[in-house]
Amino acid sequence: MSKDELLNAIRDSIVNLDFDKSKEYTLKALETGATPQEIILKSIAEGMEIVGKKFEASEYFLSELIVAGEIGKEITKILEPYLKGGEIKKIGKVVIGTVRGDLHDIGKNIVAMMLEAAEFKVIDLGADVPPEKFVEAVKQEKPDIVGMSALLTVTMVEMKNVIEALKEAGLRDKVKVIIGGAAVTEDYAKSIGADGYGANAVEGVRICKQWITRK
Amino acid sequence: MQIILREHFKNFERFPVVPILGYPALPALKITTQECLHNFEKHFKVAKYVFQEYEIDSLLTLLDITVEAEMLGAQVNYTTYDAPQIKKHVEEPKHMETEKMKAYIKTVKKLKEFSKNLPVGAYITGPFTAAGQTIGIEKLVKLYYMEPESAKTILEEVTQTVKDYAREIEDAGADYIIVADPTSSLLSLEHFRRFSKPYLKDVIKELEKEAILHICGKSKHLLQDVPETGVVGISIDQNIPLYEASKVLREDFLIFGNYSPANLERDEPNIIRENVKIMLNPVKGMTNIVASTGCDIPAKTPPENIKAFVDTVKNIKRK
Repeated sequence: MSKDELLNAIRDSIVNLDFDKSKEYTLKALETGATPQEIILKSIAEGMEIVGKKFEASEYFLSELIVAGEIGKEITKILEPYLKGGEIKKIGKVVIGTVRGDLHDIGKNIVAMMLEAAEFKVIDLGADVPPEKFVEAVKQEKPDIVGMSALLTVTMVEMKNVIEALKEAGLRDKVKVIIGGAAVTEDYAKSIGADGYGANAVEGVRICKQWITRK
Repeated sequence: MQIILREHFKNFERFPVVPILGYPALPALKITTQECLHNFEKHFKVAKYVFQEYEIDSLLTLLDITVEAEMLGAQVNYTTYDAPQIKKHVEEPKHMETEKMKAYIKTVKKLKEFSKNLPVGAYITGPFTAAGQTIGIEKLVKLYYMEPESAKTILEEVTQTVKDYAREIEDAGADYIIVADPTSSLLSLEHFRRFSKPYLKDVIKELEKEAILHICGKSKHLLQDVPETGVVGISIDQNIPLYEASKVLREDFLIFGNYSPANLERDEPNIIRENVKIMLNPVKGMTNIVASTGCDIPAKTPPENIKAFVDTVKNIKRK
């Protein structure tokens, strides 16, 4: 196989959720002179984009997103020794977390993984994150975007507290805020002053990309 | 005498009403979640209060999808009044008895003594959800692709724990079992058939009493396979209109649903009354519908909202 064929084969193995083939083709692609950057851009990012489209067409569900994301992570692990300390260019930076009181992190993890595949640098604060931790991360990391997730109706009120805390710290106009999660709706996002609402991971990532390209 | 749910609910002139309700009683009785779930007298008091205060059509234990995961070694976090959540997953599940499971079993026994001829429903957790709660969903799904035998072993171990617990709940006197399996809604039909359905079947075939499957989330694509698990009904959320679900399922298959708990907490009683009518009007005449909520009602939900929901259902004639 030529280098381009191998890059496509890696992409397709992500789409087909084939761990073994993805590893095999990644190693072969590196042998034929493909750079880690090429594999990340042409195989992982494109593969995840196709997986996202299949998700939107209800052909794939969250479990397939998880598997595809895990394959992407495994490929990245293979690439690490080949990066020679060279950073891969990122299109933007996102600080993300599940809000205080909520320990459900699967939705947030999927979004984080898809953002990474879409070439964002992601600072993942984890689950049960208090407003002050979001504020601290915005001060230190200077992200373009803050993403918040909540599964529970009892915890989604915390999203408002984070936005208020960002305002108090004088940081609200420095970042775009996007929220999502099972309990959250577009109306709720508007009512608390968030800039965006992702009904699912794919839509959330698309909104983040739009914000960055319009900058 | 064994209660057959379908027969029991068939003769109601109005829609039966069995919301997923428990936690809002905790602030009213000033009992914390942790106290309630570890002390059967308190759990019984809460369940009895819910039944008497809101006059619903079944006695129910509180929904807690951490019971089996805790029995397998996961750590649980308790807030004051809301449902517990998993704090820490475990690498290698190992079955053990917990104070909470013992309290659940005793609660069911006490509820049955109290209930006389009314049905007592008790929750257990579906194997896929319980396995996800125990080791983490991402890890479980990844394992299934990379080391399928290890994933199967874990799912089988979890299934055994769920079965053992379910049998004890049945022996304690539960008239029907509600298998809470919300995480299955993350699965495509293909994955549901691999990760969830075989294990659900395995649990349900062990039961002598009837079972209802509760899957909240976007689960319309799974409905066609649900009867094959052996359950006699499904509990769905607001993502699937009741009428839509009824078109996929046979007419004697019970459908519980599907008022949004978030809206029940947030909206004014007059809005709730209108929305309950909107929910039930399309399914008038169907004797397999039981009015419920799409998921657990949050603890902070105002009592007048819950009453508005129950009272409105009770005033709607089935035909």
